[in-house]
Amino acid sequence: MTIATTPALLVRNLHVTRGGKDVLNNLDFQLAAGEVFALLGGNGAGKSTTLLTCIGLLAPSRGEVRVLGRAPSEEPEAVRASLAYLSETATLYEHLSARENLRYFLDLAGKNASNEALEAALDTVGLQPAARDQRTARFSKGMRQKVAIALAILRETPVLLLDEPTSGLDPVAVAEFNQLLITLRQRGVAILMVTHDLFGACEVATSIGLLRDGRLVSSFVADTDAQGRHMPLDVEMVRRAFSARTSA
Amino acid sequence: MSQAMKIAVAEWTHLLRTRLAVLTLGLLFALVAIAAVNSSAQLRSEAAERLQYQQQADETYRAQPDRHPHRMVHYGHYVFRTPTPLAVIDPGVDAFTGRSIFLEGHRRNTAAFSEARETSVLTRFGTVSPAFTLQVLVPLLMILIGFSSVARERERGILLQLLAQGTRGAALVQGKAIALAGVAALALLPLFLSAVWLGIQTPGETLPLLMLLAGHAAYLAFWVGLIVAVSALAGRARTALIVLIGIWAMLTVLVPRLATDVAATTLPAPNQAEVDIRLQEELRSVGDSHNINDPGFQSFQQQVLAQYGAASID
Repeated sequence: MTIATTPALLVRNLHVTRGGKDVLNNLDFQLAAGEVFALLGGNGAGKSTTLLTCIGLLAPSRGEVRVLGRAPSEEPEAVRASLAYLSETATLYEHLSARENLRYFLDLAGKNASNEALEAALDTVGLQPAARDQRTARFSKGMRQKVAIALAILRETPVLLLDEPTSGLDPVAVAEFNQLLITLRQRGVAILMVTHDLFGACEVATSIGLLRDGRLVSSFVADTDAQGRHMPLDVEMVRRAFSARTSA
Repeated sequence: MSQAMKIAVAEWTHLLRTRLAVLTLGLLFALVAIAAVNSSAQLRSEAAERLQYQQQADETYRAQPDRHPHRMVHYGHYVFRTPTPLAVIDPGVDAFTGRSIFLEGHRRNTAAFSEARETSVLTRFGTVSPAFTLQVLVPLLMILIGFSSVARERERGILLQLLAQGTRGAALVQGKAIALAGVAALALLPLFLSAVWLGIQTPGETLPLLMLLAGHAAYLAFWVGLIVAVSALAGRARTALIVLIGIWAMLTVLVPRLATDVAATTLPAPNQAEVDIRLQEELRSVGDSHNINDPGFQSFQQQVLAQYGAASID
């Protein structure tokens, strides 16, 4: 397999058992550079388990996960160095400012970033300059997420994992966040996003999957235009299909 | 700089930016420093006082008219224990055993003027010496500073974030331990400075001082390991605090009391009356040295006369 054909993220025949119960059951999908796969599903469907398995914090009981060709369970440090994870709460150190948080996390990840690069990343995510030296204790969730995304940009990881990134955000922040994801997608970042937000998923994702009881019960792939750009998915069509699947 | 050191530096930044931690750190340093200064001043004053009493007792003893040596032994003499330089750090068992003893022929007197007997029960808990502060109060303050070191990262979800970006769990725990060891080092600093000062004043005590310092460092290192381990294993910071306070209470309050009770039950020591009776019995078996016709006394007298080649005591 050459580097060019290696998917950024490959999940094949994945089974994960927790507490004697099958949380993921024969899960299959793959993600290339510049693609966004949105995984939708109810609570307990196995969305977060999928992310934790991709990071290597949970081991598959069967099947495989590969991040840029590497198995997280075999090479966890190399895999974690190649991906950025954004949790639902976008946690930061509250006693540090936005800049200090970025410096600290980058330092731990063994990544150097110039001041210019740091400011550029914060500009990209749209964090107000006045807020950059303030401690993050009083930051809104949207502001914390901007810092977390800036960290992912600065780490220049080819894979980004997002755990319900828009939950609790106001509509303006959701719109800004989705635009940011489109920017990252266009830069070639492969993004796996688990979410409840069907509208947001249709806007940014190149493919969508519905997870139920650990199984991928249906999926959609966005069309591309003449220039090869991904078109937003039809929300109504996806919603109807998911409703049918859910009530089936 | 290693990942662990980076985490340690960040933990110190957190401590210095948190009011409660700064207050606790200040309190910790002040407690040990005040205990060292107070202990040094108290020891100096007590040493001067004891020297004065010893001189008085010596003068009174020497001022007696010429007497038979046996009668001099009966007259008795007060001696005062001279504190060693190490007592600045740890006064030892003086508060329990007393600071002076009346030496008297044929009698076994116990030491007198023990603070534990003459003051409240709190004295038995310990005097505020640098050793007491380091052994009892500093671990408590270290618990307050370090109980949440790892647990709060888990509670806030930062642990997952750190692990997900490749931070090793072992490095995280090591970093937290290094940071807390820095707190312990801060607490040991006044003791170290006292040791340097005492070492200059009394070079002969340098080795025992170093051993005392190393002992306290090892003791605080044990607490560092325990605090970070409990914080890492506990699901929540509150649970870690409760467990650690429980262990602290057990090790500093319960175990010392229980240990003495267990020792007293396992190997009971004879009380004063038993010792006196046993002493009298042994003396009787030797003979009555106050009775010139006692066979034991006669035999002893003959033995001494033969030893020095004398025919009589005259």
